[in-house]
Amino acid sequence: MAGLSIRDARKSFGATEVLKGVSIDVADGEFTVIVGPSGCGKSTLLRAVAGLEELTGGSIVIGDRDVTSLPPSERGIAMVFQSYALYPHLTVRENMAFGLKIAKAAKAEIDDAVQRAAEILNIEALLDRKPAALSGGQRQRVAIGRAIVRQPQIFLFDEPLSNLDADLRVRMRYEFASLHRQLGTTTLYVTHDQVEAMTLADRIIVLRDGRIEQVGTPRELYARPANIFVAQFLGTPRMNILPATIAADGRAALEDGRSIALPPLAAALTAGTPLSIGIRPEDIAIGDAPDALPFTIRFIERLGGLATLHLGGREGDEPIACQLRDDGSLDEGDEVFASLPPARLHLFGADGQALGTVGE
Amino acid sequence: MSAQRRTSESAIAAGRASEARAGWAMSSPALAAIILFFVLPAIASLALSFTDFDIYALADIGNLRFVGFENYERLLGNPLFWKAVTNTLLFVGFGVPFIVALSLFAAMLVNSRWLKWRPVWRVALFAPYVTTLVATAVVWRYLLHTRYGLVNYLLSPFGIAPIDWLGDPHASLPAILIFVGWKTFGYNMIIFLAALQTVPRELDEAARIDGAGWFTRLRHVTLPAIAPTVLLVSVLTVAGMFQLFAEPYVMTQGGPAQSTVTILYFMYEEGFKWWNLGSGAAVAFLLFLCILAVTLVQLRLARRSGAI
Repeated sequence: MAGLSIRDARKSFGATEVLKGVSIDVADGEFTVIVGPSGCGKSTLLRAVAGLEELTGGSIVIGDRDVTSLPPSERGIAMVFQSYALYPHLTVRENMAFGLKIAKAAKAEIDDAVQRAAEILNIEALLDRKPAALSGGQRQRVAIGRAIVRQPQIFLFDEPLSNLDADLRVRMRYEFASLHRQLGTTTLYVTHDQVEAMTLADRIIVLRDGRIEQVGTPRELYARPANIFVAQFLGTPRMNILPATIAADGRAALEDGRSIALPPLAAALTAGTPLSIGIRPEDIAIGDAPDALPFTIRFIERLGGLATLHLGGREGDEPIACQLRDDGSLDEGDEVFASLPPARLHLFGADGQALGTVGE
Repeated sequence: MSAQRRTSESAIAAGRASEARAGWAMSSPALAAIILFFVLPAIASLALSFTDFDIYALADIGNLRFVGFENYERLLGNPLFWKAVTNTLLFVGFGVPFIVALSLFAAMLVNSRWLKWRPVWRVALFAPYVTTLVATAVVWRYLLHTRYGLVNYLLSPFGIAPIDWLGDPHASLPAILIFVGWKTFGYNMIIFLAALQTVPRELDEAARIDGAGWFTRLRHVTLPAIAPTVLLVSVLTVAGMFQLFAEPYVMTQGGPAQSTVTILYFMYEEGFKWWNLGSGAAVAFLLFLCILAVTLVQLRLARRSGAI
């Protein structure tokens, strides 16, 4: 096992720069998830670590070896693809043994490695089947098995759950987590799904347009997003962002003319400063309170236990999402009072960067 | 209850029957064309091969006689026929692997991501297939010329003495083979290219991570993935090589010393040079049996190796 260190990674396809100087450190044994929207460069970064893409600039160090110009097979990595990439004409056993066979390992050693991996993943019964005869979840397991057999220093996962249905995705998430606990191998995992990132990662790296937006534990990123992008990318429903200006009394004047109290942190801001106020849907409190504002419920999404209210102030304004336990007492069209507790507010400057967060 | 079931069963049966009728109606134009232009001529040709249909019969059909297997017996006793069979088998035996490998290599070349100007390469490599045979044959006759040809000129630095490509019975067959390969590989290349583009890139990448080199990836990833296409291309090429005619006809007229007489060339001479149409039909039918037999063997081999 080994850590991974990427320094100033740059990659261009023709005139398009996909990675604009990305530096990452992954500690030995850490489960790091790279998350970001489509086209942010996350898969390119992973493929560069695997050696499937050549970097235009920068370096990649695995353990204490600079692997930047080594071929994929000599980097000590194993990769699990979104499409599983199992060899269709080989059996599960042969698929898993392929790498060791090419490395001309002894037959006993190959059999042993395949058997061990199959036991870990509970796929011993599938060893003599061809990939076509497997379900999506089983294929995924075989793909992981093939990676385990290589005994890599680093596991690379490229959106491995995207092709699975919702149910299986939840189960595989759990299996990934327990597998990582069992093997302890350094893992770099790419996904566009923030739920996967939040649930699996020791550390999350949020990537946008080829640049790192923020690095931190899931909790840190959720509680103290560095900017509006990260704030809205993590969490469903996403964080509400309300444009506002600092009023003369130090409160925030919202666009609809109403005002709300701000945390002490905003005391440093002068009147007239524009800012964006962020609040997570679950942090909005419904009910009569001293500073509560009246809203109309424009739409309710009932999810069973929870409900998401879409609250509108004036007609035509962007509604504010609010999540709460659904007791069935509220209906569309109802007038409610909602308060935005100052302690739960996130403040962002005009450039979208966080001014600071009070709540934890 | 059972009456109800019977009714519903008969309704299903009626539906099936009308579906079948529609199927036949829609495929009938194509079937008619196939019967008219393929099945009937094939049957007529088979019937012809049991007659002595010749130039006299063309003048007066009353001269036509049924001769049974006489045409076949005479053919099997004709040394030139056996020479033609041997030549054709040589063309098939050497030509098919050569052309299939050449087309696959060309397809992989124009499919590779590092190649610049890929569309230009594709056009350039496909062009021989669509250029006029006679015109290219003239060019190739110049290229293969003993004294002034480019081929001998290129071989001379390696100490190879000038070869009389089209005049030496030992060199004529390879010369024709090179010409045929150059002329036809573009078509196969397009078929291979289409197949290669369906091979998931991740498979190749997974094999690279597993440490497989170029050849191992070709053998264990690419070829198994395009195996049905390899079969299709080899069946087409085998059929094409068995029916080799135009190239020897325009390049060597079957010479020198009948070294490039193929079965089809022999059939052409029997039928349209000597006007023994009955005997020509017999050659055609034997050729048909040959191609059928080889194709069946190919299919069986492919099935055994799991390609289809």
